[in-house]
Order: sequence, then structure tokens, then C-alpha cells
Amino acid sequence: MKIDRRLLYLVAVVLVAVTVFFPLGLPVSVSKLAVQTYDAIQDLPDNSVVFIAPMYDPGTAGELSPMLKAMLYQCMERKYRIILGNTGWTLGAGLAHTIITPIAQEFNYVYGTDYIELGSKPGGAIWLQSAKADLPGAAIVDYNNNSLGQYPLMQAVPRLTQEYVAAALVLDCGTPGAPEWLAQITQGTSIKLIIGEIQMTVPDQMTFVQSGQYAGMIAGSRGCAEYEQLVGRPGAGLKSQDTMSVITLMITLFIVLGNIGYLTRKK
Amino acid sequence: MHPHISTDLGLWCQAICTLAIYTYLYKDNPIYRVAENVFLGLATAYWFVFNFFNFIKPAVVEWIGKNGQYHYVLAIILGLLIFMRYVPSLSWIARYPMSFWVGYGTGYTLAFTPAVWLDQITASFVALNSLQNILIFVGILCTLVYFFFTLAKENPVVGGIAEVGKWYIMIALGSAFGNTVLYRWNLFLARANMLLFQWLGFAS
Repeated sequence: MKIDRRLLYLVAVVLVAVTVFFPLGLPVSVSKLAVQTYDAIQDLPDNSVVFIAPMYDPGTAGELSPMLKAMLYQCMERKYRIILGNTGWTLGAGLAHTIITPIAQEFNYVYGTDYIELGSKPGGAIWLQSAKADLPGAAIVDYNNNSLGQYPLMQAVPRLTQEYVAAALVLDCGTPGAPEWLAQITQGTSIKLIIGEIQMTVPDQMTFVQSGQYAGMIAGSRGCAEYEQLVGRPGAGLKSQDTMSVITLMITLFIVLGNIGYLTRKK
Repeated sequence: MHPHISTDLGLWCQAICTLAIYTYLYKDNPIYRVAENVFLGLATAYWFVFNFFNFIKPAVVEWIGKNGQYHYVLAIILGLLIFMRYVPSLSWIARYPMSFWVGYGTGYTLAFTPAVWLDQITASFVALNSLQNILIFVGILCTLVYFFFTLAKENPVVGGIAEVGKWYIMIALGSAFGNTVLYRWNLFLARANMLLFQWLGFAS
């Protein structure tokens, strides 16, 4: 029996619509990895400077923007100073701007003193190397094209090194991404590298968590749901889990049915 | 559950383009192709402008023109040589910038990769005191044996170990595939949320 694939799409769309409008409220347990990631950020010294790099674009914003939001909440609740910027992901800077602006207002963060947006800088690994030697020199201007020299936060962080930055929080979905941060900035230093990863590349990056080269990882939308619970700010990650559970069940069922059909036909 | 349809023009563009692309799920059609070509045109224009203002203009106006860093002229000339591939009799010259990039890439890899990967190797030296560690240890050894192509796999011991390695690889690929499927659904869910809550304005 041959099933029209469009029928499967239709079933999936109906399931998504039903679970989006009528959430099942399935429980989401918190994994050790999520706790490790939360603790890695929470345990940074008071008044630390953290560099948050939204290394993504609209294609992966569905997974990574909720992670960025939760990270910002945690960092601002801990009153860390935040440098927000990336290299090689132009559209990520714009997406991050729309996320950080209302949260900074909520926490009364002062631009240039408590946080700053560098925007997106071209160059990838080469830019990171330059930033290690001279951060304001490599970045030149902020997201709004204003010179960086006037901002106290930039004066306090002349280099992207362990003397000035406690952690790098990288939202990663490709190249340049977390491996470039590891190779150029955090390897062999005390800077904690904590990443938010899209579901697809979680297995690739997990080895770096196991080796201790990443201090933590938010693993896909499921990891985001767990992390949001720890931060105490349930958001899009947690909300998506009902749908993802139902979809996973549907796919599993289709795979089983497909294989039964295949084996039956083979006989 | 009364919708309040958005009046934001940007959201309407997003929604129409998203729906136009999804029409491909039914079958290839002119609406899909229009959306695809609009995207290609926009992306090409966007990246041209982005590269001009982020690379070409700063290099020529700021670094060379204002700061007098004339050594960048050499880099520009080297870069421009890539266009010689369009002159058949001189196309061999285009190999020089390519050679430079290959040299740079090799140098970069040799300089920055070993430190990162040595830590990975060290991390694989695990104490065999838990099932997880034993599985990691066995998996590494067997997978490495699978890739020793000079060892005769006809030998039952080597072949058996390599077979276990093959299973490890298949499980890793299955895990990667499963994660990829879930990732794609996440993308769809994000689009569905945009269409339902931001564009059509259903209460979330």
C-alpha cells in the first residue's frame, strides 16, 4: 500500500496545530547537563563580564532565540556585565538586539556601562584573534555605529582574554561558531565556554562537553525547556515540548509502519 | 480564541513568503518558484551590499586612504587575480590567490587544531568504573579498528572488532539523523508560531 506523502504532512500539521492551541502540559524533567550549564553561569564571580555571541541567523532563531532570552535573564539577574556581539552572523546581531532591548529595560541595565552591543563583525576566527589582542580596536563601533571608546564597559575590557572576561556564551549553529571560540579564545584559559546548540549538531558538540572543554551546553529545544525551568522563566522552549513530543511519537509510528510495509512487501 | 490579524507590513511579507515556500509540499508550482527567486535575488543583493560596506569600502577608504596602510594594496591585487580565470589564456594566474588560501587554511589548522584535539584524546582515557565509561572505551577502540584499512578484516578477531565499530558508527549516525529530524520540526514549529500568533494574532 502506498501512502501519499502529502497525507503525512497533513497529519503533522493538524497535530502541530492541535498541540499549539491545546497544550497537553507534559512534564519536562531537568537533565544533569542542564543543571551543569545553569550552574556554570550561576557560579561566575559577582560583577563578571560575560561575552554573549549570537552566532546564528533567522533560519535557526526558532531554537536559539529562546536560549538567548533565558541566558540574558540569568545573567541580568546575577548582575553580570554583558558584551553582546558576534562575528560572521550579520542577521544574528539584529535578532539579538530585539531580544536584549526589552530585557535590559526590565532590569534597568544602562547601555555602555552594564551592557553593550557590538553588532556583527566580519572575519570569523581572524576577528576573534584580533579581539583577543584589542577588543575595541577589532570592533571599532557598536551596533548603532557609535565609537566604542566613550563607553565605560569597553574601557574596562580592552582585550577578550581571561583577565577581563569570565565566560563566553555562544549560541552556535555552524561556522564560525563554538569550535572557533574554543580554538581562539577559551582553550587553555580560565574563560568558561558555554554553548547553546541547535538540536541537529548536539551529538557533534557533546564530545567537547564530555572532555570539559565546554563548561555547559543547552542541547536543542529540549535543553532549552529544561534551562528555562532552572532560570524560572518558562518561554518558547518549554512551550514547544508538547508539540515536539507528539511529533516524535508520530515520526516513530510512521517509521514502524513504513518498516512493516517494507518487510511485508519483501516477503 | 479570536484572532487579531497583524497590520505590520513586515509580518505580512514574512507570512506570505513562508506560505509560498510551503506550497512546495503539495507540489512544485509557480508561487513557490516566485518566492524562491525573490529570496535568491534579495540574498544576492544583501550580501553584495554587506561585503561592500564591511570589506571593500573600509579597506580602500579607511585602511589605505586614511590610515596609509598601503600593504593592503598587495592583498587587494592578490584577491583580484582570482578574476583572471575568466581570461582563458591567463587563467593559470588565478591559482596564486587559491594557493594563498590553501596555505593559510593549512597553517591555521596546524596552528590551532592540535591543542583542541589533544584534549579530546586525553578525555578518552577514562577510568573503567562505570558502564558509560566502558561503552566509551570499547566504542573508541572498535571504531578506530574499523578505520584501520590496512588490517585484514578477514581475520575473525579484527573483523569482529571492526563489526562492533561499525555498529557504533551506525548508532552515532542514527542519533545525528534523529536530531536532524527534530531540528527540522523545530524550524517548522517556529514558523507555525509566527503564522498563528504573530501574524494571525491568536492568543498564545
